[in-house]
Amino acid sequence: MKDKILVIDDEKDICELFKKILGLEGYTVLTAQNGYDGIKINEKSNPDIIILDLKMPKMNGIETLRRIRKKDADVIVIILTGYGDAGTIRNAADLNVYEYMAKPFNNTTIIKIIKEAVASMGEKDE
Amino acid sequence: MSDIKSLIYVPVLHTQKEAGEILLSLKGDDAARPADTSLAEQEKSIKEMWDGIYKKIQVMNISYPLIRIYQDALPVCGREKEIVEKLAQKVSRNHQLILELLKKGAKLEGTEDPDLLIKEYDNLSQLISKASVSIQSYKDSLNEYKDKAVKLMKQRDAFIAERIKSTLKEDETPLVFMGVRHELEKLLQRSFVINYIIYRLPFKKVRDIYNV
Repeated sequence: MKDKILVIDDEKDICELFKKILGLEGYTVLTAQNGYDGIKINEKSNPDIIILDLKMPKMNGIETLRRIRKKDADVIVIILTGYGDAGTIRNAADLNVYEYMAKPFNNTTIIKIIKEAVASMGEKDE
Repeated sequence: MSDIKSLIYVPVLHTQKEAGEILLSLKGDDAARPADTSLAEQEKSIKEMWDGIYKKIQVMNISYPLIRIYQDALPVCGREKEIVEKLAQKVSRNHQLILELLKKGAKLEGTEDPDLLIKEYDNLSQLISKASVSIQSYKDSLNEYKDKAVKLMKQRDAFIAERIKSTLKEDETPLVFMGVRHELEKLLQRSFVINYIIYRLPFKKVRDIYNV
């Protein structure tokens, strides 16, 4: 079984797209459409990588990540967002993100980044 | 009612090579740890970042002669274009892209106070000299360096903001390439509507003291 990826994004279509494209690559894909559910799923399922949107209702991506980091300092987080400014980027960097990527995104590029992230986990384990 | 101008802000990461190969000698602290990947991989990611930025600029349908470029760490010195050309020859995609924009008619402006850049260089040199003494000595100096760097960055940003406001001609739009650790936008957001260009920022690949 390949690695487990949690997608936290309020856009249902994005969650479905990731299920499809990452599923084809053999990854197990979990999804959450808000930060609260994302935090719960992260604690319960312990994914290897989180793909996180920033602009979400109820709790934004930075606050979601802040809460995730309190309990999980190591999980790899890739920010994927259509929204971004310099302050948000600095906040994300302070929360130790692997990559910050803008929407709209190219499927091939995001899959490549995920594969690189998975490979970097392997290097740490060695 | 006065018109608020728009400003194009491009937050960027630097490779270790761009930031100065001296950073490679920094060891022993997480923030200064060399990136998880090789220099070649870093440069590849950063090249992709710049290619993505360039594509986004190209589809913006902007009038290049009305663009004035402001670049992180480019001193006001009268030799700005020469510096950019030299760095472009050293395969800095950042500076290659600036040359491409200049060919299309964009203007280049000296951006930073040279004295402040020299201070930054001196602070960094001091830190590196400590690295050769002991790891503890280096770690102590790193905190001192970070404090100095934060204060210096505020002064650098204040200079850059004033530079943009004082050199921008009527009808021109500033295009600002700035490292992610600058807080320049805070000084500009009352005078400009800021439009960001972000493609990808591969933080883990280029982790170094300037970026993280």
